[in-house]
Amino acid sequence: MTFSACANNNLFKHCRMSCLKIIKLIPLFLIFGLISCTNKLQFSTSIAPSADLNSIRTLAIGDVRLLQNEELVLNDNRGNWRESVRKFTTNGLEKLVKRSLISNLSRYSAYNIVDLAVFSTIFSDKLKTVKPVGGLKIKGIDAVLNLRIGIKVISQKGQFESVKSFRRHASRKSGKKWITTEDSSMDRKITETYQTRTVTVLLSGELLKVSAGKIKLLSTFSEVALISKGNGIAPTSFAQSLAGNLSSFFSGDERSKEEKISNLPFLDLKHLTQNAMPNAAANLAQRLALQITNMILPKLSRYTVLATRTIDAGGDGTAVEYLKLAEVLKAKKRIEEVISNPDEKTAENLYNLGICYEALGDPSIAMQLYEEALELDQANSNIIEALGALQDNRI
Amino acid sequence: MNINYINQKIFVACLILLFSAGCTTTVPLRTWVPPHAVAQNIAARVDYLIIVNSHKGELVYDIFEDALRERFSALPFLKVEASSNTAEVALQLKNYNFIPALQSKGRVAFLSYEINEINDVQRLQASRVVNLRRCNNLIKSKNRKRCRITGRAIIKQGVQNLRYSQKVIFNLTNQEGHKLIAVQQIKRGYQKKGKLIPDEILLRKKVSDLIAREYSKLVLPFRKNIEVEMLSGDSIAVEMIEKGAYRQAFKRLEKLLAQQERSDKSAENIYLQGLALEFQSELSGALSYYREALLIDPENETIVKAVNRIKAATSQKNKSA
Repeated sequence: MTFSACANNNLFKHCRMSCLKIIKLIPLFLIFGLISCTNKLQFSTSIAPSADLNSIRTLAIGDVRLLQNEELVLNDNRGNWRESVRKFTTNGLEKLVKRSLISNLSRYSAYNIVDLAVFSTIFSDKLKTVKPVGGLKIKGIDAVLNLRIGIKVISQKGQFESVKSFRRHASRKSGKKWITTEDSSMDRKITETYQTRTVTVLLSGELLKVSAGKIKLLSTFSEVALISKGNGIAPTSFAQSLAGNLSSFFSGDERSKEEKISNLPFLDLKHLTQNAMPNAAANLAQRLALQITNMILPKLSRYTVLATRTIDAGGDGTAVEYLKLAEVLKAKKRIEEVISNPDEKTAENLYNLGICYEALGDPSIAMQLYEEALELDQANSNIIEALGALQDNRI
Repeated sequence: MNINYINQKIFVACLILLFSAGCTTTVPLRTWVPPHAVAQNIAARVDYLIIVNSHKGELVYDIFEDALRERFSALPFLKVEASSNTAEVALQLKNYNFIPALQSKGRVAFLSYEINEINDVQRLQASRVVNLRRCNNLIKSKNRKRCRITGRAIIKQGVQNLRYSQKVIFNLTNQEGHKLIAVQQIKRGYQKKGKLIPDEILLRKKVSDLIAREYSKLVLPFRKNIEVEMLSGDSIAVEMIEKGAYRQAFKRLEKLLAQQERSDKSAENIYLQGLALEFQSELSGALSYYREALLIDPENETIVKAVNRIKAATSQKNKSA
């Protein structure tokens, strides 16, 4: 209220000065007024990446297939190129991807995750004796996830020549002043080295919905990711430690700091040692499995967004006060007590209860309450807005 | 005085602008628009698409197959078969509460493609002659030069010259092997020269995605943001549509119209009902409502536009001739 009053006062003052200015200011004042006069409740809510995923309870990881694993080794000696292709050892990457996917998906999503190969062995007739009798309560598989991976590694190292200008600057103090005695520069041809290793990962997956004996393609996704060790880092051994900043060796490295840091995990991983020897392949396979899991997770698991709902001040006063203080549980209890009296079952109260449920992470009940409230009051724009936002978010 | 007068004029103009901006009720709608060549539209002719990969196991073809599948399965007009062997998945699932059943496929189309890939990498030596200079920045006189050339050097660098392109020929046939539409050909490429060049897999993926997207735009409707006019029907329903509560808007209008006599029904409300469906991508439902609205008000331009839009997007029976 104070805000809007203040705004009116300002408006009056400005009106004398110039009409143009007011036009610019009106929307500003309007916005301020809205924010100060209505009370909103903000909470985080989770959203599925696609509406189809809501019906999935049990997800089976099916095939993980490696399409290609090649390494191209390039040697660039000032423009004299040597190249060779060899098989890139992945050390059972498929298995690793599967395992990391199972562990991460069961941690970060609400599905029951099963390994199709393992479970079909257990349930098949081959292993009658170990067939689980109790304990397993999964009724059936709702969806199968199949993955295919292609990997291409390019290891490139070499030398190139360039001209660098070396500058000399000397000065001496005479009294309080510094006098420059020498300021010169000299060009020199120098040879620089560079070394990069880039792994291109192609990932394509498909989600098959299994219901009523039918297999239906739900969605497919494919992505390419680059994992690079960056330009110009010339490690002498595997025991590299980069304390502090990432050193950039040659000037061609124009990546931002964030970009450099995002490429760091290669160095960040602890090296697996076997008889005190670092195992580069196992290291890389781990990194790849992590990358692939990171690529898949956002497609399947729910993510959190911030939602804002307007508190309807027309509802029960105590509950509105609770909501203003964001004490959702108390507000919910209060409204539920209040609306047990049929006279108090108003659209405002139902709507406010809906907000409570939504904030507590139960959007489906919230939806029902909003619809019920809408039946009572069709013109309430708060309810319409909440309903629109809920549908938009595919909850 | 003069300035005040101008200011007033601007003020009035602005007010009118604001007023009119508030009055025209257009809403941005992300809806389906037909492909440029309407005769190529297969949306009404195919229910089920099978992507035929003639070179299974070759990475170029596999990547392209995935690109096509990803593109087509995201569109609501037809169903796409999965790349995994259905029989294999069924067998694995059989032990696990799964009884495979035959599915009816309706009108099936087979999409086969041939890829002509050019991946030309030349690894070269780039050399150039550079003057080496020595400078004395303390020299301030105009007659003497600050820098002088002390020698020449040949700078040698490795450089990779990449030229990549894909030319894809598409052939869409029905179950009997007859061509559904004319054979299409799309070519796209990429060039780069430098010390480091992107890898083959990356290029294949990017170029395949590009071509698959263009092909799907040739044969199926695609999504586009357009401005749709709202007719001034029931104000609450309009608000609901503007705020995104489409299902509720539809329900409200349905109830409203059910109460009214046939003669009282307004074309505006029926049009809004269709719009609420179109927002939910239910095109055929929307079309029937638009048609109903058109029966009441045959000369309403907005409704005629909407009918034509959806007709063109979903089927081309009326236009193909």
